[in-house]
Order: sequence, then structure tokens, then C-alpha cells
Amino acid sequence: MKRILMVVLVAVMMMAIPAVAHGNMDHVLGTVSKIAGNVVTVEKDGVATEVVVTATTSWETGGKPGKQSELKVGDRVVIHAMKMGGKETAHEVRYAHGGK
Amino acid sequence: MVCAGAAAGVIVAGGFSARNRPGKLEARLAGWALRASVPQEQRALKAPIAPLPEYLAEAREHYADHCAGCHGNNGSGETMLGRGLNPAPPDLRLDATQRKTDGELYGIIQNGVRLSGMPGFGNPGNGDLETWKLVFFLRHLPALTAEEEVEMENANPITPAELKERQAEDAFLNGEADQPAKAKGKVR
Repeated sequence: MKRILMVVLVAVMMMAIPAVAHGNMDHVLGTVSKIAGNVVTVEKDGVATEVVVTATTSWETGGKPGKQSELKVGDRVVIHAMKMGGKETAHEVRYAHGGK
Repeated sequence: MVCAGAAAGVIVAGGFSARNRPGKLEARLAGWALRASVPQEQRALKAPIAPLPEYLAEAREHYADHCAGCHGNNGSGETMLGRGLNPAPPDLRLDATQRKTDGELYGIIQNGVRLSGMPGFGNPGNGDLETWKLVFFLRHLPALTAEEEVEMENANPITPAELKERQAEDAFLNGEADQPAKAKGKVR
């Protein structure tokens, strides 16, 4: 029994070898052109990028905590995002109303 | 032996890529092994100091500097490193972590978790006060305020390049610059 447990444990431990994903977050900057539910569209130089926001996205404005509900079309945003399931998914959204 | 072989086979079939999340069997066995590895006396350990507010503030800054890279300021593990680790850092706010005893949490911070991304910090022994203060902070994580989180961002490690990037982003947000900040990652 002890031997069986050892085999299983060794197999489990081998699976747990850590690895770190490479690469940096995407930086999506621009002006909010559309907000549809949890998808924010950001436009910069005529190019639109859709970013998904989630419950774990952090929000900041002017060095203080922000809220998703405060984000408006026309706001300037800097979004740090990662591609997840083929969609840009926001880790952090920093925004300023009307570019100020 | 056949059962053990079958279990190992199921686990190995998942491959070794960090992108594949562990299956239920692997996660359950690893969780069991981790719990079973903690001696009773470790579980029963109590902090030798009281959780004073000043200790909590110290630990918050310490955590933001040393732990948040993988665990996130809010303990969610939703960071670039955290998402890439396998096994993934647990959400420290949830029951799976919060129901561990103070002694267990102390032991994990102090000794790390072998074959995971969690290193051992501090000197061996049970009297590292900095680690005990971190245990207090872990207990506080489920009640962390948004103000505390923003404060922690100032204590997160930042390279000169990241600082420059942050300043450029601020200028963009304030309408002082129309060009996107030059960032390490792709700028869209």
C-alpha cells in the first residue's frame, strides 16, 4: 500500500513542475468608443480594440480606486490586458474622464 | 498497483505544459498530499504576537513588495505570473486558504511548497515575526479595501523602464500626450 501511494505521489509531484508564461501584457490605450456589457471598445487612430472586463479587473482613476460603472464613452483609458480564449481580457483599467 | 498505474497514466496523458490546468484527480491528489505533509504540531502553532494594526500595515507593504507579483495585491492570483504558473497560485481570499490554520499558513510562507512556484521565505524556525505578520495580512485579504489596493500598487516592485512607462501612461490619460506610451508589451 505504501509503495502504491509513493508511485501516485511521485506521479502527482512530477505533474506539478512549475513553469512561468513568457511575454508581457498588452497595453490597450485610446478613447472608449463603446461599452456593451462587459466589453469595452477602445479606439486609437481609427483602430478599434475590444477588451473584456471581468470581476477580477481592477479599476483606477486619478490614483484612486475606480468603478466599472463610472467608465463612459469618450474617456481616455490605459488597459493592461492578456489574450485569454482569443479575447483581450483586462487585468487593470485606468481611465480619465474626457481626457482629463 | 494497477490503480496507481492508471491514475499516473491519466495524469501523464494531460502532458507537461504549464498551459494545461491540472485535472480533478491530479488536483485532488496534490491537495491531499500537501495537507498530509503538514505535521500536527505545525497546524497547532499560534502567532507569538498580537495582530496589531501597525503589523498589518507593515505586512501589507511587505506582501505588495514580495508576494503580489504572483498572488496579486488582492490575493486573487490574477497576475501575469500567477496565470502562467501551474499549479496556479490559489485565490488566497477563498475558504481553501482561509480555513487553513495560522500554523499551516506560516509553514507555507516559511518553507514554500515543493514542486510549485511557491518559494520558502525567511529563516527556518517558528519565530519569524515578519512571516507571522504576513499571516495576519492573509487573514485580512477577504476584507481588503479598494483604497488599500491602490496604496499597495505604490509598494509593488517597479523597474525604471516600468516607471517611465507609467509616467507616459499618466501623461496620456491626462491629455498631455496624444501618442501611446512606449510599453514593454504590445501597444494597440
